[in-house]
Amino acid sequence: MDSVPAPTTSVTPVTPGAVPVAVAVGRWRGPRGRRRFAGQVFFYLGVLIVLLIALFPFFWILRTSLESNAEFVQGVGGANGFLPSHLTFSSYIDDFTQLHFLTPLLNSAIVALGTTAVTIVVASLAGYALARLPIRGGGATLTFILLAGFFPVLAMVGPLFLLYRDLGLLDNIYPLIITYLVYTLPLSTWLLRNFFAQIPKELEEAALVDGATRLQTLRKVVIPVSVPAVFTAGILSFILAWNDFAFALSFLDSPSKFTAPLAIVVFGQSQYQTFFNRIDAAVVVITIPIAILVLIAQRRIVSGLTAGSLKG
Amino acid sequence: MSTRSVARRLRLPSLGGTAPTAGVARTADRRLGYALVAPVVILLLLVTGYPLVYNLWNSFHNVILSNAGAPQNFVGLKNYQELASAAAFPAALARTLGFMVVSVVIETIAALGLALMLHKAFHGRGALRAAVLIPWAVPTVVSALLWTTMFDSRSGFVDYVLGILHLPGSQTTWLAGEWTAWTAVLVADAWKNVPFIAIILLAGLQLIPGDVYEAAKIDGATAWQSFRRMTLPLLRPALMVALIFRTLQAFLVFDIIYIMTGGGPGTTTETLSYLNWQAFLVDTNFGYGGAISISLVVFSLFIAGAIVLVMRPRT
Amino acid sequence: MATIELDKVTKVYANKNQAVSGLSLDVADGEFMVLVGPSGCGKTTALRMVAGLEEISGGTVRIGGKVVNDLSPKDRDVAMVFQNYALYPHMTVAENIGFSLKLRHLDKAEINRRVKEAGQTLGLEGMLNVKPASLSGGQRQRVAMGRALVREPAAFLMDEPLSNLDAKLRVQMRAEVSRIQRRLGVATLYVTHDQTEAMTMGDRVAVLAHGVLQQCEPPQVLYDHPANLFVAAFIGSPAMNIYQGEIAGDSGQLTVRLGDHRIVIPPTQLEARPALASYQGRQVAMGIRPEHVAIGHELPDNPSVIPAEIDLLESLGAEVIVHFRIKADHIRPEGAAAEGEDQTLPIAISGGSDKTAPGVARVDPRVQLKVGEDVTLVPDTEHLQFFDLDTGAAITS
Repeated sequence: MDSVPAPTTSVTPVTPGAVPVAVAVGRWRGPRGRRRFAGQVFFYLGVLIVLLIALFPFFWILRTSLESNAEFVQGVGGANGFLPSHLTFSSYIDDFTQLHFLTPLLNSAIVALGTTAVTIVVASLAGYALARLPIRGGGATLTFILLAGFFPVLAMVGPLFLLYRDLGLLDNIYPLIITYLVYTLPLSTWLLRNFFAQIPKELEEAALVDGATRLQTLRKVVIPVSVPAVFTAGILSFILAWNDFAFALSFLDSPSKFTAPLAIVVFGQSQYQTFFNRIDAAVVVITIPIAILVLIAQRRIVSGLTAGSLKG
Repeated sequence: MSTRSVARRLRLPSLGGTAPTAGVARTADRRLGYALVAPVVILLLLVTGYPLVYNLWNSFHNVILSNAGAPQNFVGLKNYQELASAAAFPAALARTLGFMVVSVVIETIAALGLALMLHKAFHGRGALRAAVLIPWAVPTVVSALLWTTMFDSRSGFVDYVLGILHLPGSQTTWLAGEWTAWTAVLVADAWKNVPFIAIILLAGLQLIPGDVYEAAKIDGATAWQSFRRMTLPLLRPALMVALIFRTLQAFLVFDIIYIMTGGGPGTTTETLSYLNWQAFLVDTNFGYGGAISISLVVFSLFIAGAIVLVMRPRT
Repeated sequence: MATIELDKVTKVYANKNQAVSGLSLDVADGEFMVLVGPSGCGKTTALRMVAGLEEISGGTVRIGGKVVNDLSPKDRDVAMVFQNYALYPHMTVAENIGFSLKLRHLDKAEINRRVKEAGQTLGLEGMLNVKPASLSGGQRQRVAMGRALVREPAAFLMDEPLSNLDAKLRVQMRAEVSRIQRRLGVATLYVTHDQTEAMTMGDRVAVLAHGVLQQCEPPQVLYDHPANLFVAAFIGSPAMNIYQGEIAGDSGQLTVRLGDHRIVIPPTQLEARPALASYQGRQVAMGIRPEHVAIGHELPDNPSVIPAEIDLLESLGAEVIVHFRIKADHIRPEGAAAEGEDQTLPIAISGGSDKTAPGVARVDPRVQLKVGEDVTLVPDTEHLQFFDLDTGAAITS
């Protein structure tokens, strides 16, 4: 259960308080201004360092992935320094032709999309019910849903392995769709529940008075108004589902069934001498779509991660 | 324990009393509500409740699949005794707890700094936030492999830089030594998770009203005092949430260990989850594995409970 | 014959708070009934119980003769206009208005026709394809009305629909809403906290306080013959002046003593309020509306005059509002308390340390008055109102 994001406050960021970092952004204004300027410089230096820490490793694996096998064996240094002496796409080509990397990518896509689709539907229904309908034990149910998100993944692996084995579902990517729900349902239900709760009641009341049933209200009024939140839940679910390694490792056996994370690791291990240039090529391929997703949807992702009540 | 008291204990927002319908319609609504919630509950029960019960059952039996013919008879507490006596488990427990403490402390402090940085309004804040989110968003596998590459003695950046700067250790095979391996694991873990904690803390920071600081300034507080007496206490709820998540995740760490070190060198980086996996999928000993699983669940509950107790905001 | 009947309707919340107690009210077909009262009086709760948005704790609600207590809103054939309009943000104006018709599976042509008609009635023709976000407050309010109109329901329910509009728009819309309702002839239950709206729009006005119906009559009757202190003080702006006085018998005449002065109660009053005689020697609440207080400079022979000092003059052009002080005990009935004061006291009697009380009069602008001046108040005794101090009820028979 790596990285199940946290439910914290649903926040439309308020004007940030002037947090006293020992830096002030000020105009040049004499000695005091000079100190401020220095502070500003240090701050941006800090930003730069953080940026480097976050992004430089990607550069490094990109660089490594573009090495030819020969250069890789040579190691880093000398002519094969910061940039490889020769850049080549041979690793990428090898990955897709020899190792058939496309199949694991497709498998991951199928499973992640499947989990996301199921999650959106199920979490929306449950979130609405928990937000608006008079169910007894709603609080306990929500608590259970949240707690389920904390359940140790490795504790689930054993019994589910036995279950899937008995059902003949081992080495099959489809049971993963259900299994991955333990990553996605808690956060999505929480997120959507909180979103639905703060839709003005009058909107639904108007629909009810207009003659809609509850389900019609949900379908025709609540959901259309909730598209952003549903979208956010979808993105986060996709990221979480794509991320899994432990379940895939435990339930899948044949390479044609591997998901992408599993494939990369197994391919890397199978070589007597690990060819990082080929591993890293696969890593780059897996990273690019995620990076694009983050760049496009970054605001949504942040608001989704912080959705919910910070109090508890 | 009533619904309300559970919700109040966890300080969940109040539920259910917002249904705007009357009489018979209300009962229909209630039934609809149960129907809509059922799928989530059933699915989650299947994936968590079922394993929990099965593990419990298995832990009291002798279930070793590789011994194809052996009877799976009741063995009482034997599996649990094995946990306590075999050297592997206590050692792994100690290591795991150690990693948990070190990683959470370091990562939280770093994340606090990052959150403060992101809190300031400056040009390119959006870009920084996006850049910092990517390490969190990519699969753990990516982080693990990426840092394996970085720490590789031949093709890695770390040794390369150490060599260029003529610092000692430029020939280290990081993953071959216990402490160096843990360092590499820690770096990989932090790189991926600091952004996550930072985002949560950032949300908490944004809730703090600006005038609190202005009042403090007028009262004569320095930046550090303001931080210690205003920011930190007001950040407590967010910190608690972040801590619960990260501490449990660190305690249950598996992916990075498996990929980067495979528990090695030797058994020096074996964590509890790794042991659990080994018991299930390598030794096919589902009884012993079941015992480990139950202990994982119990420890998790304790840890989460401890954090809530310590960090709970005093109303 | 579609009507709304409330029969001893009660609402009690889980925390034992009783929002509405035994409310009985009938709205005839085509009648415009206004539910008015201060915030928290239960009027909105009552309306929501009729709509089906609030569970009914006791009593029955009938719409068109049918008991609707257990029916969901969609089965009650009522249309509602919400205070915040509650327009569907993702639908255009036309879709908003036509939503209920679509739910009832009317055919497209019919829906279009009705939406167009509603649009014309409300002056929304050019905006039918716009989303609510780009409309002004007044336009949104009209869309909300259109949504209700197009249903041709058995009853209209309106929850303070004008309170989010600015003052000028509100006056304009008051007339529009009245006109539309009259044309459509649908029984309407209209909730507001603004007594001016109540008086100008209602065929009958029901005054609520603390969940209890105080009086339900046509506006003029409420104004001229309030049933108790609350209604007397709530209806009418500026509010009625109410003082505490003692009924005394003076040589065959009944008088009311305010401070050092006596006001003779004319025989017409005694005819209308025979019970007044039994209050001899007791304190009562005496009320007189500002327009029934004349102000003069000389002390006429009329024994029923009261000296006063002018506090403040507000010139409104057509008249002058005179704020004065007299020597008497002032009564501020429930609901007339200032912000933040305990509204549960039935009456507040204040007289200040020097026992002066404030009051308001409406006079012709031609009368020459100066602040601080000592003047004489001449109450029109035909229009005095009397209330029992213990029950607050008007003293009649």
